[in-house]
Amino acid sequence: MFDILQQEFKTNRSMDPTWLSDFRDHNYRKFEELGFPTTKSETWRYMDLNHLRDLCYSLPKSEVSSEIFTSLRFKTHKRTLCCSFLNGKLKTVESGGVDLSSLGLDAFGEESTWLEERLDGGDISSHPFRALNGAFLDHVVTIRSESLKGAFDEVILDFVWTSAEEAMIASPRVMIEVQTGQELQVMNIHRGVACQKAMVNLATDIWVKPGGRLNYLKYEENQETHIDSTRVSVGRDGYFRGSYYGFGSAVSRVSFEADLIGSGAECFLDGLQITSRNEHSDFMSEIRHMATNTTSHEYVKGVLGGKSSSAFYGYVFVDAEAQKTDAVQTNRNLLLSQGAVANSRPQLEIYADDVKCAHGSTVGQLDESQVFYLRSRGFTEAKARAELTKAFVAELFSHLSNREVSSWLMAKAEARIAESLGEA
Amino acid sequence: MTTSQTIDDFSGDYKYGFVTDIETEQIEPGLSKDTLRFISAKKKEPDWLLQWRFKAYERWLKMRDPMWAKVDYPPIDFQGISYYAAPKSNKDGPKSLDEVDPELLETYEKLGIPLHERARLAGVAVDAVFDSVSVATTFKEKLSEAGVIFCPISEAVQSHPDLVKKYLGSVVPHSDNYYSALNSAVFSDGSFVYIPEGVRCPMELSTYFRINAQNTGQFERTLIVADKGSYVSYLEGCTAPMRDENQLHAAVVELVAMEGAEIKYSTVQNWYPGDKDGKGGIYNFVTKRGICKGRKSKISWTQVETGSAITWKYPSCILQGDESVGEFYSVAVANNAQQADTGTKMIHLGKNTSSTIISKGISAGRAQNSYRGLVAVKGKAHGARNYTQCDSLLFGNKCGAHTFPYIEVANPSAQVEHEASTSKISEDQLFYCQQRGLSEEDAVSLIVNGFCKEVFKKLPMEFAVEAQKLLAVSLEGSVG
Amino acid sequence: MLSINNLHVNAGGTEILKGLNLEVAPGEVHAIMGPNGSGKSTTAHVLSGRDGYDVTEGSVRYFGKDLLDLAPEERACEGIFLAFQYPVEIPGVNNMYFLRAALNAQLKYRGEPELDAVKFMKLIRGLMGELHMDKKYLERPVNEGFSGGEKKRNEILQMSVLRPKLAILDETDSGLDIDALKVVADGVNRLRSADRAFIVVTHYQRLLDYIQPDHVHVMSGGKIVRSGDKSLALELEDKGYSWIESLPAA
Repeated sequence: MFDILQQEFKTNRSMDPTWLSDFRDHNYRKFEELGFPTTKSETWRYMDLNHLRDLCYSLPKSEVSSEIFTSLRFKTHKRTLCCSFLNGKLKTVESGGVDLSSLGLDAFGEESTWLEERLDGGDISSHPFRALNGAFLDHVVTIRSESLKGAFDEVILDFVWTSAEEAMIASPRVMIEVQTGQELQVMNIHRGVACQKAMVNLATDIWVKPGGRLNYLKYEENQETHIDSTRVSVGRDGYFRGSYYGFGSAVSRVSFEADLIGSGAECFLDGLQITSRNEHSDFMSEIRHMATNTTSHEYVKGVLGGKSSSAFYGYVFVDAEAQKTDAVQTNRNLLLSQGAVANSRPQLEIYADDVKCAHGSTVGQLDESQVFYLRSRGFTEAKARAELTKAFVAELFSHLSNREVSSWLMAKAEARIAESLGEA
Repeated sequence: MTTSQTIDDFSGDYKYGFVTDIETEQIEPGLSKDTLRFISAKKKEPDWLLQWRFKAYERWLKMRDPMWAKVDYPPIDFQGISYYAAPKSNKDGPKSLDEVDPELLETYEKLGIPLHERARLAGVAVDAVFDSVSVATTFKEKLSEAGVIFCPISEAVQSHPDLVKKYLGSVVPHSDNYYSALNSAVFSDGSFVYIPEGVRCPMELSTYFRINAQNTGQFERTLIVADKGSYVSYLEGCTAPMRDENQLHAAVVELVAMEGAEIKYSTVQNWYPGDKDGKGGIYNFVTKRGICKGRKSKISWTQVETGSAITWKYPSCILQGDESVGEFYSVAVANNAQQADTGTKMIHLGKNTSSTIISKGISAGRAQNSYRGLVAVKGKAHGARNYTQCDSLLFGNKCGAHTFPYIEVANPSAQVEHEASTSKISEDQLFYCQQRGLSEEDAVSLIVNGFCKEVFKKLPMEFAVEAQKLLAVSLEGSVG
Repeated sequence: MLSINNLHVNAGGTEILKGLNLEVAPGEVHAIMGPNGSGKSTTAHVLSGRDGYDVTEGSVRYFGKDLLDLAPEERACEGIFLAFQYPVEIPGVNNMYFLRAALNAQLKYRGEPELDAVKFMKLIRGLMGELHMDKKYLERPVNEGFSGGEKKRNEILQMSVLRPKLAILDETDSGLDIDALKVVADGVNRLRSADRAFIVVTHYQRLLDYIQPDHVHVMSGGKIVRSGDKSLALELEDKGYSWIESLPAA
């Protein structure tokens, strides 16, 4: 279904180095072999992708009227680097005059050896969307802690996608590397504006080197289809904290695969899915404990209104070598309306015996005695429900250190909750 | 504390591994429509049942071996299995216990089955299935006074054809899965139970299954129907001789509970698990399912699974009646090269239905032990409740313990809660027990039995004692 | 009966005990005091045979035997009892069943006849009355759902049933209110006899108001820095642990 598009793409990018076109060809062949996943696959069981099959796709247009485009402007402190992208193309950078030419914010820049090695390293044998991303790889953003020259410790990537007319497929890639002993915060924000037809198929690669620390935030809203495959590797005593906020694309699928490869590596993963209407949100995580004394704590909540549905897959693998692993997964879902469906599949696969592993999963509704209590204190029923739902999600914002960002997110969440409750 | 010695010390002390030397009538290995005709003719079955077998067989031919379970085994040669074996002296079926081959009775003595004197003392009615046929059903008279029907299913086909025809395959249709289709085609015997309206079955009913003959599979079929307001507790035990080749056991159990009825189904499964290198042992591929048809009905599954080379079974409940209740209590032990993939499905259809799942998995040696369970709350199941707890205990780092729950909720008034944990036996607990004077082995056994307590206490007393002993034997030598 | 000689012990690569010496004779009550981290609890653990400690030097003789050679359960059967600072919960295991199993294991070791359930119940009923323990604790799983005070009382109950030759109380007083403390102390005092010795490890002098020690030892930095009679405990209470650190090694 992508044949014509691929020809067009190849023609456009005929100046690219051979390794890159080889990489794309290889990925394209792999995607053709794999095809879109179906609900028969254990890890795609609750997600119907039939609507993607028969579309005639086009590539993102960068010549879009800038009128629709308002970049996020957090009153950032000096050490925050804000970059805005429109349909994948870099629009604005507020770097305060620091030379960032080695950073690789747009396309392929100077980083080709570094890129070549890392792009080639990823396994795509069972990842059709990663292969598809590789096949049409166009915009790559690389954030390497050492390239920030000590001037910044926080990077905000604000992607705006738009395509109201044509079935667009966008294949951005974000690559983040935190060097030994360094610390970084990265926000990867994807917003749809007049985006009824777009499929954003993002791939994210993250390396946290020994002793490095990364706070990573992923936000996604308002696209027709949003796919994100994030891969994380955490080295010895490294720390990764990922937070995901999915606030309503028609269909979204966000996956984190984290390999804890060094002893003492830690991975904390939070997620919040708020859905309404007919939306579907899939959150998947695969955490592999490959070394001793590694920790993973995962906490994902879902709020579902309308006829929406969600799925949580949380897979934890503990290798026989990974003694003293501490792994906890929690998934909590709030069903607000008749017709909403929550699916939850935490999974443990454990081959080491000296471990502490647990998971918990709940699906329920607001506590009616709490609703009544608030009403008896003068809240309207609607207000009571809204407050209690907000309370349900509030803890997922508490760890964010950038107050601007957390209040922006909370306002978004409140609006989404109002929408979900309105349909109850 | 180390657990490294583990398996090497394990002597594979399977005390049920003897072979009984009795004359057997056994058909040649192979599976075709003729096999079905042979079995059906042996049982003097009516034509509808033969046709039913044919339908299942044709369906089976089109199906494939399920691959999703976390178990690993070479392809099974279905043509290499004999589908019918019967103790010869009982060709026409025993009329009473006195007619049963004394050697067979001795076998049951060895198995510790309360068949004769012990049966009366224990007040247990036993239907014993030896290879493919039921050999003795005790207490028939006392049961029939209460209106309870408890007999081999082959006999029920003759004596109560309407009941059998109505319910056979109503819970597990022959098309349900690969092994249920195979069973429907070739099942040779099993038990049939009917409890009439309002009757509390006066004693616990029990079946012992034993595979004796070589190269045979066992394909029994159990059907239990509890009419309105009735109650029955049913026990099932299984053993098999030690043989080097794998033997297939593909049973189907169907339970039907009408309004207000309760069925309690307990299993202590101790099929031969194979030797410590994984040679031999039973493939236990079983489909068990109950339907709570009427309001306030209840089905409770309790299982202690210590045997079999491979266990693949998911005793399930379809909670159709409003306010019906489903329960699943399970202890699964896998040692040496055993593989277990077991759990349950709770399908909530009716209003205010509730289910409880308690699963305790123990892995040792090189074994793989998985819990796999589905809790589904359908759109109309207002007020459905589920509580699930899965705990795993590991001995050593050559085995695996896995938990694969599926939770699917489509009703906003449902409350579903799942918890799981995996750990090794606590050093603190071990030391505490040892400091009080208990040997390490006794301490382990004590702690493990405590771990399984919630399940054991659901078993009838004499079964609970047997289960505890089995557990100790199964784990012998697992802690160094 | 117990003779600890120049004991050096490592745990997790750090030396915790650095030359401990202690002599305990039958009938004596020894109190070991000292600040956190001085090695008090390590001493209790090493004597009872807990895993995770490396003896690098020195010896422990118990009735002439090399104690360090024995498995934990052998030490228990030889009459060493440790009252745990944090008694362990064992879910699903009935408290009474546990206690009878322990007692019978020890009786068997000593070649004495085991107690049946009836005799055992008779024995334990009386003891529970003395310890003001409700009988419901017998039916509960070991220590599960017990409050801190109940757990400690349960330890003393076990000690009363098992009647050890050498009882080691590891901070049994911590977390107890005054009434529970008295009950625990009464339980200990009732067991005092000419052939039974006690080592009472405590952080506070308070317990020693109720259990009168014959000897008081103060530990610091992995060894005993001062020994004396009851008055040493009072002096310590008065001057605080910082006083110890200023003392030269005994």
